[in-house]
Amino acid sequence: MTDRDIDQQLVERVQRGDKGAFDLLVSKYQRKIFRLLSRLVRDSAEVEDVAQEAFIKAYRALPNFRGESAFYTWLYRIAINTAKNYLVSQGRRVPTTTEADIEEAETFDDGERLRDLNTPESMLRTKQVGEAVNRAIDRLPEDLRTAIVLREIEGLSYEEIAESMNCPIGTVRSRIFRAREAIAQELKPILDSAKDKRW
Amino acid sequence: MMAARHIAVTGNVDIEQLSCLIDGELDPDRAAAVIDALCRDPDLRRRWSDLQLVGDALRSSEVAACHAEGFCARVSQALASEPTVLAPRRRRSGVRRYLVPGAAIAASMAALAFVAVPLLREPATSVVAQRSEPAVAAETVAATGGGTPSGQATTPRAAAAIASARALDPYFAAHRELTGGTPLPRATAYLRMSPEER
Repeated sequence: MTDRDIDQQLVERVQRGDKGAFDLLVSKYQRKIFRLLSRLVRDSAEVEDVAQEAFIKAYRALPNFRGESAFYTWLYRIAINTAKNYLVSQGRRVPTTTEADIEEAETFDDGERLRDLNTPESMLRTKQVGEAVNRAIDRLPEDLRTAIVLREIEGLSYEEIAESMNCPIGTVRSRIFRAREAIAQELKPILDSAKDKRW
Repeated sequence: MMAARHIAVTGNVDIEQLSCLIDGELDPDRAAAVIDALCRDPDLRRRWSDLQLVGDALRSSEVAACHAEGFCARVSQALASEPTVLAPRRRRSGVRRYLVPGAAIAASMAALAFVAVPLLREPATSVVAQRSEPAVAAETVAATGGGTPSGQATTPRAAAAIASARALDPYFAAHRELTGGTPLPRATAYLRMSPEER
């Protein structure tokens, strides 16, 4: 079952009246939407409000979502339109960046071209998160580190990882899960400590 | 170090399966069961959210740095006041799927037949009616101006028909010159009306 299939299942549950399924979609995509909106709205205090509005608009429009595109692509467009409308309503200039440029920026790994949009605070936070991830990975036992890197960075399937590490698939899934738990332990204090600041 | 060494079990789902779900490594039935549990259990949802955060952080520190604690709760609260959305059912049962369009086609054919059949009949009747009048005139012309052997008396109506037919003679002649005497079926009807042509 692919990532898109999982999203589709969640969407279908929402379409049948299950609001809890929409919470899962929000928790999955909130950070990517924040990142996208921060390139349009800039002001971090407003980004969260626009993001909330975008998610609510998406919820209202969900009965019309037929799954022709991926859920995230659809949500992405709603977020961009919400941000543009917000800027117009505030009498502010809508950035001349086209949608295609923004989509391109989304897949841009190091965000080099967009770095000038970052505030010193957001840059510091990004640095802290990166350091926490590296620290957590360094502290992992080698078998867990290899498993999580092969999965998240190299994108291998459990079967391929099992073959590569010469161990059963059950061991692979356990190692990946434990690695994630350990990284989460390292990350949470950093992200939680800044919760009252608004990123 | 690592605090979570053992696997917690929430309801029928062990947390490890959340990790597998994120990686798309569960079979559809098991995935559906885990999603079902996730939708019902807030604690399981929190764990799912943590694992998603780790995935984002490993792929991009910039994205993970955008994390806003409590955002999901705020959206959830805002959605509580929204009416529940329901999409219309897309799949219909097999019988209805074919029966309804079939019935619609049959009904439209019946409606078409109901309207079209009388219309198709009407022009035929009027053609007969149109054709009958020149035919009567022609017959009358033949009976009088054409010199009938029986020498029957001409009626005033027949005389008028003859007069009007004669008045049209130059027109018919000019028409024939122009068309080159093409043997068109419609023209024959008019030609028959001219006594000179006979």
